[in-house]
Amino acid sequence: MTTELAQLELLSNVDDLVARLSAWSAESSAWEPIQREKLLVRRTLERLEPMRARVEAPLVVATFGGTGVGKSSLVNALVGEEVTLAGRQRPTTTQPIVIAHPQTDLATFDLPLDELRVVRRDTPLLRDVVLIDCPDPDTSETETAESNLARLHRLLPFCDVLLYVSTQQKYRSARVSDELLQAASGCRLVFVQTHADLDEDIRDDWRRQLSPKFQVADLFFVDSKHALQEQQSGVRPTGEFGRLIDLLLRELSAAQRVRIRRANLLGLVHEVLGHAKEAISRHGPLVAKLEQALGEQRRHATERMSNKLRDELLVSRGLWEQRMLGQVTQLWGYSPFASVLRLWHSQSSLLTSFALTRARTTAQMALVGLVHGSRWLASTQQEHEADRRVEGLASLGLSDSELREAQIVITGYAHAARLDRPAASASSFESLRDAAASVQHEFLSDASRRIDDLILQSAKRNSHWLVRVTYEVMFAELPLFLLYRVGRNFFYDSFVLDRPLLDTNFYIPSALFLVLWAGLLVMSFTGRLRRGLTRHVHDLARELASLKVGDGLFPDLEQQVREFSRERDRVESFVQTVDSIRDRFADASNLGGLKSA
Amino acid sequence: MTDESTIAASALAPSAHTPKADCEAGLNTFASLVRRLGDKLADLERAATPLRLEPLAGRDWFDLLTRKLLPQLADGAYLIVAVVGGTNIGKSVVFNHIAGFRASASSPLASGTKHPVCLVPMGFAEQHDLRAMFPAFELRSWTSGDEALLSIDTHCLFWRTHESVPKNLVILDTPDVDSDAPVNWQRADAVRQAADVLVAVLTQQKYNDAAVKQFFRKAAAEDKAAIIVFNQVELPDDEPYWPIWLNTFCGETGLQPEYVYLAPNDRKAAEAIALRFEERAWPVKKESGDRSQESGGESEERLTPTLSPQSRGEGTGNEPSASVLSTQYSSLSSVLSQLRFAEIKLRTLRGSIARLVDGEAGVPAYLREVQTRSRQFRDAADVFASRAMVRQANWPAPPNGLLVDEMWSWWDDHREAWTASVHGFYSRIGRVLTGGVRLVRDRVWGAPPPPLAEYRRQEWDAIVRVLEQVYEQLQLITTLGNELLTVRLERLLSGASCETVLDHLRREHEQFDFAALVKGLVNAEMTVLKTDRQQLFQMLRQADRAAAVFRPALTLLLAAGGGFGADHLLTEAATQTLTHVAVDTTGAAATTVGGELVVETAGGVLGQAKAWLLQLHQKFKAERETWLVAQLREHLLGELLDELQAGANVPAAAAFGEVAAALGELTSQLNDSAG
Repeated sequence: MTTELAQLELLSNVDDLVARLSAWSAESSAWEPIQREKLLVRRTLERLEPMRARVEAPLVVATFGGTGVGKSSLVNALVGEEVTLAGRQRPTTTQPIVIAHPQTDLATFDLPLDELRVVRRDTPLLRDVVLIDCPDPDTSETETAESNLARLHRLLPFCDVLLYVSTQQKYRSARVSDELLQAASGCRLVFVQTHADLDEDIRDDWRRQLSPKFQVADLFFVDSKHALQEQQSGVRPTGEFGRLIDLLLRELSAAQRVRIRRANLLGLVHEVLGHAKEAISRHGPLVAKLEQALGEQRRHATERMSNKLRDELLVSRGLWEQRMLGQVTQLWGYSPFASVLRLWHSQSSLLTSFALTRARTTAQMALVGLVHGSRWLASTQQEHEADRRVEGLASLGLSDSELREAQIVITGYAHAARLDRPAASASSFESLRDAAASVQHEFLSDASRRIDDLILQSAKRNSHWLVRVTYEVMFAELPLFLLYRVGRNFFYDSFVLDRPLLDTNFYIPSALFLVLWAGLLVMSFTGRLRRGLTRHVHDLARELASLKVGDGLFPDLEQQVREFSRERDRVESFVQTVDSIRDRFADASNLGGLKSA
Repeated sequence: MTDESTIAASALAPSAHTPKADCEAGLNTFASLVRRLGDKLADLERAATPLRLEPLAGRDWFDLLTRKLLPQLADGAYLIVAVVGGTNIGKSVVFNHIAGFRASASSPLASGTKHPVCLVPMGFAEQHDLRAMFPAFELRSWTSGDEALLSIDTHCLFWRTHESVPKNLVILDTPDVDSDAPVNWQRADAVRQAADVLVAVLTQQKYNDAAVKQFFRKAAAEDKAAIIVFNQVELPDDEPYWPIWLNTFCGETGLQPEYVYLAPNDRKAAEAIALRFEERAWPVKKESGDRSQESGGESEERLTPTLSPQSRGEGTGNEPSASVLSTQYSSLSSVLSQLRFAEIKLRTLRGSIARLVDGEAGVPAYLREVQTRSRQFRDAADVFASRAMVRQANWPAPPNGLLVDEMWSWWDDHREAWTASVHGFYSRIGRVLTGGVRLVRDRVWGAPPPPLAEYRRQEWDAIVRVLEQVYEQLQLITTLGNELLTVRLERLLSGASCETVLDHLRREHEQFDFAALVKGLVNAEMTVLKTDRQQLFQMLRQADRAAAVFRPALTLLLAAGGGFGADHLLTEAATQTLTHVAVDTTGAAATTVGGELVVETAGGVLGQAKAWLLQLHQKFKAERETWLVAQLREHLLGELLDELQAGANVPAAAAFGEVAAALGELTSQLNDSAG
């Protein structure tokens, strides 16, 4: 691939980045800091628009520096004649001057031309650039509309390259340095020390001062007066000034325009993204706290529910037995003892349905089974909605006051984390109740499934063939014996021995014994079924407590917390993209600029 | 020491245009007044801690007080001369010329001088406490000129004695006022505040810089005497321009120089301490300005005679002994020795006092600040004054069972002996008979929740509701935009703080002894009933007697019928029903009309009983609400309210009045002495 193609690819990368950025900044976010940063990005992108529009126009080069450092002299020397008044009176330049080639169309730049004096000159340098002699930033103590500082600030957004001019006296002036930091984002820099005829060379110290914040490619130490004389006498300036002119001609040529403007644009984008990244990461701990608090509440709710469920399951022994019997009879199919069990089961089912209509607790409901339970929950939600739901919630340990407490705490965290519109998610108690009901539903469905499993397992364990045979045989003994007695009495005793038939004195006690025997066996069997139940219930409660129940009580907030980290990742990826593009741009330039933070 | 002060006093006398004794007395009054003001200000600052204002140290007027007025009113027999100006314009060069040797290192790189260097005359240190003179600095004795370039964080001041320094003068070189090292500005400010005479070094690049102008504007406000040295002037090219530059500078800053010197741009001479300082007349007269433009080079000869340093230096006995230097450049040093000592001293002290009492920049502004801020605190505190937040709560009905039980036990103690024994006996029988039934009932339906636990739960529900409302209100207040409150409330509203408050409240609520409250309340009310409402009490006693008569029959009848301990229930139920009736019937009215009115309007004993019971309910409720308000105050708003209250009380503190009084006296003293 040719270098030109590589350049084009790079440029299209920049455009792509800007497009993605503007899409991102247009999305709204519930997080106040993120929203603020997006606004900032949007503003910056708006400012970039003209920069993108005039991408092929000559570069705007402006002088920048304290009063009396020789900005105007430098401009004169660059142009080769006294176009702007350079003098001993301070400040000299109050009306900034634009020097452009006669063929340059200044209208494309959107410059505030009513504030500027326009001078047209035809020199090789001016074919490529527009020169502006800017006012100084350091004589104004406050920025009023007519101050030099305000004038400077109005011009800076149009500048592509700043000639930062300083002297031995001024190179460490705090005000100028601060202003430069502000101005330099979105600009290329050329550093020039003037007054070479009078002052000493301080460029090494200057570079040391600049290097923490700026990329310093080259520093020039020029004598503008001498250079102007040379220019006027038709000689090409020599020495440092000659080097400076060479650099400007080479680096600011038409071929470089697009590249420089893209680099400036990247610089601005980089800065604003750095700001966004910092603001968001500064905010991170607060969001993390909210996340932690949400987790805490969720854990707390699950724990409450499972503890409550465990307690209720432990006292509802009758229901357990019932369910297990039902399961066992299903597994066993038809056999004498199974029939007895079924009979017993159907009897107690009747009681259960009675209990269900009273619907005392949700735990009992879970025990009755998923199908019945869901139906029950649905019906309760339809009729007497509020009452039933609150009752239901309370029976699982999530009472109104507990919900309110959770709400107070979570609202506090959300408020501290600067989450906008907490009203939508945290402050409506009704929505919280809904969330709690759905959490409870989910929890119960889960619990029911597990209870079903538990019952099935227990039933299977107790349906082992040995157990079955034992119980069937034991049960069959008495009826068989009775049958034998009745048969022998009927067929043998009455026919052969002519003894009387057995009367009620036999049948009633034997029926009674049969019932007793059956009852005894059923009791022994149900006792067997119940064995280890307590342990199983405890295990179940522990297991349920460690479960993550859906979205918790505050699903919206949890969603927003996830959203926050997603936004953070996106900003991070933008920053990385900018960095990688900047890295590839940087080695191609001999101009200075702002260092990446 | 005594020698010095008499010199000072005698020197001060003529300039103040008053007899010598008066002047001394005047200075002494100033000294004691200023000292008093200083002490009271320290008190006030301590008292005003809750307001969290900017500290006094760092305010210009306060620094003037501590760095200039307090040391120099006590011992002011010297002038402090400081060389000041922007970075890298040759302050140290000028200083070295005054000193006559390389006392402070100069460097071509900017922001070189980081610490002030101080030269004092022979014998000065023995007579004066240098530490007290420069409280802002750590004093170190000078060993070489390079020390001033040290980059260390402590504010050092390097000093030495030198024979070239005129008597009673202290000469300092200072760090810059405009570089990117703000610590240098602080040090320069501290020196400026203490100084009497500023040698202002300007250049054509810097005379109009914002930072430089700001610095000298403050100096002008403090009425410092100034000597301007225009450095690095291109002569004769700049001869027509310097008056324009200086005019801009003086116009912008308000500084009026005593003397003006021009120093040529000659680095070699500067390094060799051989610069020629040329004195110029200021303000420039119109015609002389014109002439100087015409005749350029001649100006020096023309101007020197008017203020010839040599002629001024003669016969004073203060001729610098560093006579190796040519008279041309010793002029700066000798003109210093010729300063009108007393006048300048008095002027700068008065200037500093004027800053101190200045309505916009001095103590009055501080007092206003304290008042404004404390008013904000009071306004903020008022927001929480109302108890409306808790009143809105939907408070649960008091635990009737508990109230009634308590009433019975009180009644038992106050029954007539015979009814008491009848009731006591049959109650025991009833309890035994019904014990079995209860046991069965508890088995079947589970034990009924104790009434107190149920009430506790309901009340906690109400408390959480109230807390929720309180937090909503606090949030609303934060949006009002009172910055003072917003910052503090944000702290209260944070999730962690909510959790703590909830925990505290829950614990307090769980530990609250309701039984004691009920007992106390019922006892008090019943006693009141017995003494104040004879009629009602008698009626109740009648009823009790009647019940005692029917008691045996009732108990036996019910026990035989196998009732659910109905005997016990029934007799209690009488009052229970009464209570419920009272609450149900009057509850609605009470919320709008109020208990007392019901008492008035209720006719008959039953009505009275109802009203009385309702009153009991309301008292109970009020007790609980008061409790909650107290708890909220303690656990939620406590710190905030205390802080706001403390802030609101600052202007009432003694220190505030004392500062105002001292300020008033000082102001009138200043005006008197001026008049």
